[in-house]
Amino acid sequence: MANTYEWLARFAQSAGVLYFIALFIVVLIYALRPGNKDTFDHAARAPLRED
Amino acid sequence: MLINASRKAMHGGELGLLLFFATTTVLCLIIAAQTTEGPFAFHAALATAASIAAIFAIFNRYFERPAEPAPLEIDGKPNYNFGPVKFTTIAAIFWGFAGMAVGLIIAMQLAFPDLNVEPWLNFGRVRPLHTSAVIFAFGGNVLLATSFYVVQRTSRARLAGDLAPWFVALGYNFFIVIAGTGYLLGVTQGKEYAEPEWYADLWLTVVWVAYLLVFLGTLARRTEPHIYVANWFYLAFIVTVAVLHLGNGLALPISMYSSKSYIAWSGVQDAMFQWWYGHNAVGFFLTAGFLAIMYYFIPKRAERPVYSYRLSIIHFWAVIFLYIWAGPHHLHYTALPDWAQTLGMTFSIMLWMPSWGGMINGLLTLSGAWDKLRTDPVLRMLVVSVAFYGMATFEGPMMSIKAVNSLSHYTDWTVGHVHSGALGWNAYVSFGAIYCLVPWLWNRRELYSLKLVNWHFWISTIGIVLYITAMWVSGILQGLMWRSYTALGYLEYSFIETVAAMHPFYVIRALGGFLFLLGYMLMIYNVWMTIRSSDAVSPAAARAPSLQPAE
Repeated sequence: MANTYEWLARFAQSAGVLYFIALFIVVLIYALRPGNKDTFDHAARAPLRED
Repeated sequence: MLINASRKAMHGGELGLLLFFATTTVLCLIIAAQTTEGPFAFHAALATAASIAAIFAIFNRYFERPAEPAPLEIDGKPNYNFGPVKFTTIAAIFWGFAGMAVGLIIAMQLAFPDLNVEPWLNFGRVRPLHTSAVIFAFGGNVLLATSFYVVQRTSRARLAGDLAPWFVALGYNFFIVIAGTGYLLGVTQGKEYAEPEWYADLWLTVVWVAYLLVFLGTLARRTEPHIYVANWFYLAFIVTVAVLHLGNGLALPISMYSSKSYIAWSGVQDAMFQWWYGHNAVGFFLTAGFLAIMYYFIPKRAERPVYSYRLSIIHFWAVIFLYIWAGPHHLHYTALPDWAQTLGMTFSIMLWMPSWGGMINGLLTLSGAWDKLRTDPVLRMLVVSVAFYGMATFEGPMMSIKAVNSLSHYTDWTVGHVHSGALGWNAYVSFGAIYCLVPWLWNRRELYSLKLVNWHFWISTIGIVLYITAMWVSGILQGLMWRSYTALGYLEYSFIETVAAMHPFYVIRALGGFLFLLGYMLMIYNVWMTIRSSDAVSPAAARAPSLQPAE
């Protein structure tokens, strides 16, 4: 039982960090990709558009 | 005419809900008859009555409504459904008054213990009534109202479902009634911010799933390809609160006829679950949900686009990923493993960055429009709320540092911190949103009186300042008195000496709370007069920015 815990804790502490860093990089790429600029500029004005 | 009438039929939602409420009527009636506990019988009877009322309401609505479902568009414009938004706005204003008045009562009870009225109105029962009323009843209804409004507007689509939004709005408020009366009658799980017992929790789960479906259904109808960032925050709030509620609320009732239940988790795991829930109630209910309000109402009121949409995406994901780990900082120096405490502290400190990302984005949305702060007290309220958000999210990570926490924990400093967030951030951004929403919903050109908003702003700001500073002084005083030793190694002060030392600050706190409530009453009057006024304009004119003197 103790081994299971230690294995799980070690896995969470190493793989977990890498997983979050990878996810964050994906978010950064999505947010900063120049191709998305028009979408975001349009979206930033969403509350101002009236129908 | 006859042909038309015969073509009209109940839709699936109506039939389904009738069946559902018929079942709950019978079930709750049986429980009310079988249980030996007074408060539980009262709640079951209340649920029976509410179920019967719901059945009548559904039939009534069916007879009144046209045969065809409400059109999604009229003349090419979305046919928005603002009924549930209006209801939850009014409910928020009502519960806000109740919750803040009760807050003033318990502040007075702390300053003058003679005000404890046993058994129903003693501090232990009224305190959760205050916290739940302001967070879940006031804040919750503000979130329901604004989310139903914002998701329709930014998706350019009518709210999904015919009865479902009403089921959510009324069902949520019924949960509030059950929870609140339960506290006064002594029905509680004893878990902070999660006090309602199993049956109220179960009901909330049903309502919350309906809320999620209505929200997702509306997003699915959107005519804009991109989902606006405010809706991301709302969605994160709805989904995460569901997960937290299910995780922390897992309990086994001792019988179907008893309000008492036992939590599935035991010992330190229960504590961990509780504060994983508790801190993320702050993170996702009071932060993500209210940031969604910020991201719609500040740009709209300032007539400026979001300062940096990219920043909004990055800080959204960072807030989401970091907040969920911060809970253990509530359990410093307890039986929780040390590494878990350190982890909670570390994530709390990291959280500072995405929190300030949000603050910066909200404040800088005003770039080019700062002059509006001079003339528009509503915008001022919204902007000051963001400033308080920045202050509270700086103070929080600082207090999560173990060394600081050893002084601050269990003292009034925590209470002051919570209220700088709750009054300064949550309440102010809600007031700003309500001041915007009411003219939009009731088609008025502007509020009844902007001058009164100005008075509300200044009276309540003085109230907040008195509240926070009193709690800082009293909290640090209390913490220092607890940890001071004599030369011989004995504790220097008895507990009652610390209580006596804090008395003046408790009086100041009650005064601050009174001022905050006074300002709130100005808002109630202002909203009432706005709705009552007869100068209705077109919906488009109500949403148009009011001209500035210079323009």
